[in-house]
Amino acid sequence: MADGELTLDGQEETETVRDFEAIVQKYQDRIFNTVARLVSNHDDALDITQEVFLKAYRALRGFRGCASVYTWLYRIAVNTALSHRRSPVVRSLSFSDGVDPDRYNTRTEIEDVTPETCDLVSRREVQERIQEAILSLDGDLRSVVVLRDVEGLGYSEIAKVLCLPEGTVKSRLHRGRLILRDRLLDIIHVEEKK
Amino acid sequence: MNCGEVRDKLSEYLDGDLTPLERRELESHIHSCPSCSWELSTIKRTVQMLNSLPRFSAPPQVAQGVRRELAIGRLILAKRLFALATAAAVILMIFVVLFPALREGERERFAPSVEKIAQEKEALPEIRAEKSAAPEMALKEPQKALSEELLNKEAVSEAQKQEMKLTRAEAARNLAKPGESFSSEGGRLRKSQVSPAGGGQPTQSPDKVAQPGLSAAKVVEKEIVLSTSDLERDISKIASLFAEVLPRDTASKQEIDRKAGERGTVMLVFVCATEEQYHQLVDKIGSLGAVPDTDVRAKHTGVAGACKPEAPDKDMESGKGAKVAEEEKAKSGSPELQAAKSPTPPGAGEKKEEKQVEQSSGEAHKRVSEPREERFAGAGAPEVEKAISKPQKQGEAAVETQAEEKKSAAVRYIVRVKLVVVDAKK
Repeated sequence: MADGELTLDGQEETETVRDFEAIVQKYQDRIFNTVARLVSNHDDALDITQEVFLKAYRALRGFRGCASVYTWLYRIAVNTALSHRRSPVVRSLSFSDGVDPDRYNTRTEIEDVTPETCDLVSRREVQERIQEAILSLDGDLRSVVVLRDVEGLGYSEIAKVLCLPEGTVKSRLHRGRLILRDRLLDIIHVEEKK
Repeated sequence: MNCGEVRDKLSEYLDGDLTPLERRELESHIHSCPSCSWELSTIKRTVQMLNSLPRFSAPPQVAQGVRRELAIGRLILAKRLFALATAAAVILMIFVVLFPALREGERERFAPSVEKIAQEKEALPEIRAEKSAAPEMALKEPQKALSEELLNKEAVSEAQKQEMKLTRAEAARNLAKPGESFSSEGGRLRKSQVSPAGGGQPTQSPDKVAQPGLSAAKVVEKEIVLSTSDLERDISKIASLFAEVLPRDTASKQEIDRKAGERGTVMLVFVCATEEQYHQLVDKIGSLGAVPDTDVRAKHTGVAGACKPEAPDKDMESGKGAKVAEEEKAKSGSPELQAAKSPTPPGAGEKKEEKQVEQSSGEAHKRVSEPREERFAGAGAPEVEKAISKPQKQGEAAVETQAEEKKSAAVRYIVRVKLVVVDAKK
C-alpha cells in the first residue's frame, strides 16, 4: 500500500473531519479488514468496527489533525479489538463459515499455491489455518503482524499507531513471523515437497 | 555476519529495510549457509501467505449502524438539551415569581425595627430635658454610647438589637443597688416584683428601677398579672387606661401586643418612653381593682410560666384564696424564687408585712410577701407603707369575694401586663 493512501494531506483531513460520514465511507473497509484479522468472528468484527467509528466521532473534538486520520483510526481499532472480550463460544473459522470469501475483494491470490496444493488442502482451509495462527499470537505480536503483513503499514506508521519505538516494532514483527512460520510449517513443507 | 545476526535481520531483509552493505553481507552469508537459507525461505513463505489473505470489505451494516447510532446520539443530545433548557426556564420563572415576594417579606420584617429606632430617637429630646439635672454623672457614658447607637443606626439587624439590649442590661446591672434582684432573660433586664397575696388590688409598690434617680439607659420590664373573667372588656379597659396615661404625642410608642400564649393567657405590652409615664401606668394598675368582676393582682414576673390559666381548685374551697394557692405553688416549684428569699432586712415595711401576714389566710401569703419586702427595703419606708396598706385592705375584701366570683366564672383569664421603660437620656 502506497504511503499516499496512509497519510492524507492536511486539506483532505480537514474536509474529512467536517464530514464524518465521508470518513466512514472512506476507511470502513480498511478498518473492518484489520479488525476482522484481530478478532475471532465476523459479528465481533462488525460490532467493533462500528464502535471504532463511534469512538472516533466522539473524539473528533480531540483530534487536532496533527496525525493522519488513518493512523488515528487504526489506533482506535487496534485498541478496541484487543480489549474486546472474546465471545463465549469461539467459533473457529467463523469467517469462512459465515461469510462467502468470494464477496470480498481479493487483493492477491496465493500465487505460489500449485494445483497439487489445492488438491491437498483447499485454499479456504489454508486461509483458515493462517487466521487461526494469527489469532493464536499474543496481542502485542498479533497487532504488529496484522498491521505489517496484512495491512501493509510501514514500520514508522506501525510505531505511530501502537505508540512504540520502531525497534520494538521490528523485533515484535520478527518474533511473530517466526511463531507463525512454526505454526504453518506443515503447509510450507507440503508446498516444498511439491 | 554470523548466523545469529543474519537470522535477526531476516525480517528486515524481506521488508527491504536493510542498508545496501547489510544486504550484501546477509546475502553472501545465506548463499554459504543452508540453515540460514532455509530460515529465510520459510519466513518468506509465511509472509507471502499472510499477504495473500483475502481482504474483507466492510458490510453495509457498518455504515448503517454508525449512521443510526449518530442519529440516536443527536436525538439524545437534543433531548438532554431540551430538558436542560426546560429546567433552566422553570428555575428562572420560579426565581422571577418568588423574588418580589421574598423582597416584600424582607421589607416587612425589616420595617418594624426601623420604626422602633425612629421612635426611640423621637423620645430622646424629652428624656434629655427631664433628666438634665440628674446627678448620676457616672451613667452618662453608657447612656451616651447608647444614644449614639440609637441615633446613628437607622437600620439595625436583629443581632445588633440583641447586642444593644445586652449592653443596656449590663449598664442597669451595674447601677442596681444591693438588695435588688434583677433577672435577665434573653438579654432583657427584668425587675422582679411580688404582689401581696390575697389582695384584690395590684401592688402600687415603688419600683426602684423606675425611680428618677436610678433611671438610666436601660430597659425595665415589669409584668403584672391580672386575673379576669371577662377578657375582652378588661383588655379594652386596660388599653384605654394606658391611652389616657400616655400623651397623644407619645401614643405611637404604645405597643399593644396581644399574644395568646398559653390557653387563657393574654400578654399586653406597653412601652413607656419616660419613667414618669411608667409610674403613672403603675399607679393606674391599682385602679383596675375597681373593675367589677375582675380580680386584679400584681404578681411577681421574674419567673416565666408562673402564671397559668386559673381554674377552680380545692385550695379555693378550703379557705385559701385561689390566687394565693397558685402563687404558693409557683413559689414552691421555682428554685429561683426560693433562692431569692434572703433574710429580711429590718424596717418599717417589715412590721407592716408581718401584720399583713397575720391578717391573711395562710403561710403561703407570708412566703409570697417576703420577696416584695426585700425589694421595698431599699426604696424608703414611707412609700412602702403606703404601697402595702392599700392592697392589704382591698386584698381582704377580694379574698372574701373571690370564692363567689370563682364559682360564677366558668373560665378565668390571666392578663399579663408588661411595662417596658426605654430610658435613653443623656
